[in-house]
Amino acid sequence: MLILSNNHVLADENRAQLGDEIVQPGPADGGSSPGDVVANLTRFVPLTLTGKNGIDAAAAMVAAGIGVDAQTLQGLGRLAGVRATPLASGETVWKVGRTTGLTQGTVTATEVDDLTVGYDIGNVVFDNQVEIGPAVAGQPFSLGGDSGSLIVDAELFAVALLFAGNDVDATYANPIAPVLAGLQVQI
Amino acid sequence: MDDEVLGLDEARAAKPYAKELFGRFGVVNGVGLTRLGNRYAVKVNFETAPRADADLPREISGVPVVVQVVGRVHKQAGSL
Repeated sequence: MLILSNNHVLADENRAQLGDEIVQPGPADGGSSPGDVVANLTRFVPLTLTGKNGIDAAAAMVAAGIGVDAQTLQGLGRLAGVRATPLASGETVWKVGRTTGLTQGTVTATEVDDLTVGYDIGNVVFDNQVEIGPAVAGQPFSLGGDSGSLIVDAELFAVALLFAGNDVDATYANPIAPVLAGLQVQI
Repeated sequence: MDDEVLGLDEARAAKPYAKELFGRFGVVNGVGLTRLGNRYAVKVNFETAPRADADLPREISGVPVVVQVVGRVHKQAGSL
């Protein structure tokens, strides 16, 4: 059983080592080792500053004795699986995130290229990203702390992995297929 | 979402030109595809707003263009 999230969440933007402890709640919410350790970093796709990136993704193996409900999206229902077809502009999507909780959004663009995202390590450029706007004006689909949220479509199929935004009206996410392929994992 | 949407290939072909073309008017941060009715369009995102008097192209090779000022984009990690 693995936790799926972003490189910048689980692997500290390439600076972590495989096997590093993952705490829940996260350090920003007061979590610490050893009492809050729930997993160990298992794999991540490095972010590069010298070329284009496709995903910001990492996975961590859940530690023995830690209970996991990997099928329920709080407030939405049971995860239906992974969608095989790409998202289209205008579609409704949902996510459950650490900061903004359950929010509804609308896909505003797909195949977004040359997207520059600010990280601690510098500006990182992405191709082939999904852009999502808020379904309700003035209520951002995501804010800082929501990175790593799994985004699902109206039928609760996994479609994307949230990783960036402008904290107002634009959220960015990796399409789920390259995330799973890059990490060599399954949902 | 089952209605046929026209012009996907044309919109994809227009994307590479969009960053260069619209980059003359401001800092472009992201060029993607969106929909206008039953047509695909190119979506150009600016980090900084173009000048108010900028005469932005409304289409590229017949493909409509949608413009948005998104500002700076950053990872959405929690902060310590």
